[in-house]
Amino acid sequence: MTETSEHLPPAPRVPAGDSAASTIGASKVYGMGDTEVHALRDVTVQFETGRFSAIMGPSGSGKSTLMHCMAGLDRLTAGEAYIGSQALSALSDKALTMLRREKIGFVFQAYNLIPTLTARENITLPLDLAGSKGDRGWVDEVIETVSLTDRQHHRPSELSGGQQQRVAVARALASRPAIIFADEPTGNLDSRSGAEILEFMRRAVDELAQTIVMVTHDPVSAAYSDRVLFLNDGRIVHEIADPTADSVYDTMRALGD
Amino acid sequence: MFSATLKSIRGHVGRTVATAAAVILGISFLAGTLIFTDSVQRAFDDLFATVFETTDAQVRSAETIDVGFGLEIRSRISQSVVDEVAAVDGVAAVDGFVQGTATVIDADGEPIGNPGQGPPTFGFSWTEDDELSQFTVADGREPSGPGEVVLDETTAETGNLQVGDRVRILTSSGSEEFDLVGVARFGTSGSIGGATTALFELGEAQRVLAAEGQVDAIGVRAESGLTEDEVVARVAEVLADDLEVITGTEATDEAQSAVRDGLSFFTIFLTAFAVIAIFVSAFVIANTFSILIAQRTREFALFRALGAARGQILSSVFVEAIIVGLAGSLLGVGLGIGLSFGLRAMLEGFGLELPSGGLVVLPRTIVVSLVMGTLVTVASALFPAIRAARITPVEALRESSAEAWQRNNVRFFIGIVIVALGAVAILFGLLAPEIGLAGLGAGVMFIGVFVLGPTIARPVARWLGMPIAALRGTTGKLARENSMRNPKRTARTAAALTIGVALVAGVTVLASSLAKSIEDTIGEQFVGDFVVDSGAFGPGGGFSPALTAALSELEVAEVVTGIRVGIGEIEGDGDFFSVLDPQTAFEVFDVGVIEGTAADLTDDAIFLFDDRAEDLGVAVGDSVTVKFPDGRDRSLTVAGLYTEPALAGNQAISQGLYESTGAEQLDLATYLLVADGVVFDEARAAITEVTDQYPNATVQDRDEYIETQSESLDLILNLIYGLLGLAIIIAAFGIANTLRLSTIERTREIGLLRAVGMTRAQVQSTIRWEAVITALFGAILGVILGLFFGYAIIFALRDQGVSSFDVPIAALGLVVVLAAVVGLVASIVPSIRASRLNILEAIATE
Repeated sequence: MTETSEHLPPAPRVPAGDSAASTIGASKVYGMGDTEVHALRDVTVQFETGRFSAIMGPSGSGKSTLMHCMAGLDRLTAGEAYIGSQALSALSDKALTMLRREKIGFVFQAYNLIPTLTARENITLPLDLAGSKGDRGWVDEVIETVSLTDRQHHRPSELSGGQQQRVAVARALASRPAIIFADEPTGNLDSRSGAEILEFMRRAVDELAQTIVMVTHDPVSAAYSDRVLFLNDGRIVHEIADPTADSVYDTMRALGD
Repeated sequence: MFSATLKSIRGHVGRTVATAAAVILGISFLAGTLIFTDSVQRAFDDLFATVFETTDAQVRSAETIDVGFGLEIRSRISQSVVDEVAAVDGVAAVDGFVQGTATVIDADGEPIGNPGQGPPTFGFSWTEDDELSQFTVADGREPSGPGEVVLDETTAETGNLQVGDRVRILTSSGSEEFDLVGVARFGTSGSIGGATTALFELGEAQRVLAAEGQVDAIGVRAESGLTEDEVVARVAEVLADDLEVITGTEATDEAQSAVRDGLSFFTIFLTAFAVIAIFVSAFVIANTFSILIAQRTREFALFRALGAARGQILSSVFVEAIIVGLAGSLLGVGLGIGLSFGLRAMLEGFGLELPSGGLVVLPRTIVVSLVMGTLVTVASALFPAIRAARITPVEALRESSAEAWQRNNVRFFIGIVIVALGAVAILFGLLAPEIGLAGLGAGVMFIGVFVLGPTIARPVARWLGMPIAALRGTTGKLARENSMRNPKRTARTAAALTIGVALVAGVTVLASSLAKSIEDTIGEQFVGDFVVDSGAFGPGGGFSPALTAALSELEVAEVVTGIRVGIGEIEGDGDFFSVLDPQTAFEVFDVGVIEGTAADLTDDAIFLFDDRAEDLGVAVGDSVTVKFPDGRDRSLTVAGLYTEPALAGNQAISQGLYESTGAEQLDLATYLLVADGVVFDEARAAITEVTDQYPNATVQDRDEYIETQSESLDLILNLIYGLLGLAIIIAAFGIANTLRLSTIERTREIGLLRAVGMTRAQVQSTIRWEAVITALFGAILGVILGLFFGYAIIFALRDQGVSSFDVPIAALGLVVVLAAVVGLVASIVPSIRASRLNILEAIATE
């Protein structure tokens, strides 16, 4: 269908640079009065196109909230989040849904798939929901990339945890989104399956120029990324480029002190 | 454990209300039926209690003919008895009373009331003695001689007739105009329960109601100081053996119990629908409880892990069922009060006038409703509760609470056996005939389908969902998959709708077949060209034979014959008699006479339906004993036999014979064969000119007549559809309940779909089409069962002249479409709810 960007009103302000997603002064407050919780405090951040970024931080640091608000799953209390140059606060629920469908891919920690659909149907779900035929060749290529060609007509219950998560990654890639948000994508997997998933994501960035933002608490996972942001108490407190597991681990320890 | 149950109920108010909705609706129908019939009964009781207040005794013939259906005809007595009774010492006043049929024509020239499908149309004599009189003049004066009439207040108002008007009244003696000299009230009511009443001075009443020198009963008022029993004893001494006298109190009791008998059919009829509603509710409750318990598997397992015994889990579910049942029943009684007004409005909409009085809520109504509602709820929760108690603590660890599906051949086989048992019970019940057994069989068949359903729901849902998946894309496909993923749930949800649809489809098939049989029968057996029809079906309706006589004078008509229905006993059995003019009747009717000729039906002869003759063990030439309302035993010779009873009934006699019995003579219809060479339009014009004086007679050609005869079924059919509507509404609540619970179960799934780009409208569409598939599954099973029910009944009636089995494809298709609409409507609230869920919370749900 053609329910594309005509639903999206013009952006009020265009964030600087070639960023796939960004926030300016993002704040998120839950509750009111005495029970007020500041999940995000004035966060301004950019995620460049074609890069693999990781967000780390302890529980309650605001890393998931930041990701949810940037992905259009939640709304900021103050400030603005952008996908490309599109400001999210101006969008209706319907326009946000369209944006998620067309511009954003998701990989969650668990329960990523619809049990009644086959692997392939799960992968093409965002395309099918949009009523678009998609690019069959591309879908096949993605399925090939995640090594699911011979399992694509199986239902999730017939796949292993690692295979299920590969289906989820393939789904995120299938619609060629501007950005993929991954929320602890290896959290439920054994280390071998987890490494496989992270390698696929790395290749998607390197070979397909995909942009990925991943929330994780695992230094080994974070080491697959190009850049790691550290959040604490709703603020970005540190950032390292080209991380290794050791450098991430050291930073975490340093921040923990 | 008990406080945990209470907390569970309080914590899930929405869920509890949803379960209770089925109880509330089912019980409201039961309570509404009881309240309504009790109220009507009380109103009639009050009415008749005042009517005979001042009557101390009533003298009448001891001879009665009872044909069932509360229809009893009593012989008239000689007017000379009036003077004999008046002469008895202690009798202060007497009143000779005459009654018959009289149709009042309104100011617009239309007949008021149709005894064929409503309350009777009475003609009465006016009682001179003010204290004995049941009527009191409200306007004008009493009738005092020839050409004068008084109408009951309701009829005068309905017909827009005022004192001083000329009013046309049709009786067995003809069509005449009278001066309306007064308007009267019956006791405290405007009419006798909606009947029309024309009151004449006694002599005039005897003339127009064909009762010269006779009265139907004599009212007696005793001198003060004399008890009812004393005056009855004194009057009894002067009476001949064939007369009897009863006290005023007995007269009141008889009138009240006659109404009660008349209403009892009505009460049974409505109660049958209340039982259906409760049965459907039970399915909905059972299904809701089993889904709830499946979803609470972890909760129960946790209780078990914490040391709760099986019995405690069991009683916790029971306590919840009892609370839901009691609360639902109480609310149901409240709603039933409202529904009793709805029932009244509905029946009055169908032309049934009922006296109104206070609302009667007997303690019995409340007790029956509470006990029924609670029992049904607890019984419905029984199996789910036992399943809940079997839950082991380990099951808490399992990921999915949804019931897994596996092919189950044992279940399929058991289901088939139960369905077959039910079918056999229905056939035996219908052929016996034992209606209770047939009803039980229907219930057993529904239970069989309930057992069978889960084994066929999956393939059927796949098949039904095919066009939806093809047309609606991903949402259609998801809807189809969702309706297939838990076949037990889909089948059980659909089962409630299956019951309603099966009954609607069965009634539709039955009505269509009856209509076709009527059309076929009349088409084959009536060979005339025109019919002048009164619209009445039996005694107490019709038009004067004078109309038939006038039609006979017409030159355009070659043959003119009037048909009457008489009442009598043949070998002690009360039954209807076809009353014919032997010279003409057989020229327009072909009833398959196999022995005898028209000339053989003399005034001391009878023709019998051959099966009837066989039952009586008589053949042509034998004689049978027959008694008509004059109380005389007559020996009639069996002079002929016929094979088609649809028009001629079980037995036929000549008009000459029936006229000699003194019974009221009214032609139900007159049939004409047009003379050769006469143009039909010309014939119609000539006939219509004659019938102008008789507004209750309509002129129809053969095709029109055949059509209207089958239309007479529509009224009762619509009433049944209306009453089955509630069962369908309950089923809709069941579908809504299941969808609500299923979407709660799929919260995370819906959250994921929303996250990857499903719009709210698409979420709603998915749930909507799932509801449609579920409803279609129920409807299709229902139509199959309904076809069987309809066929079984037609099969059982095959000897009663019901020859055709007709499957009304269009009507059944409409039933299926309407069922799909019911599914759509049921999905509105759950689908909106599901589409509004918070995506983040949904994804985070464990």
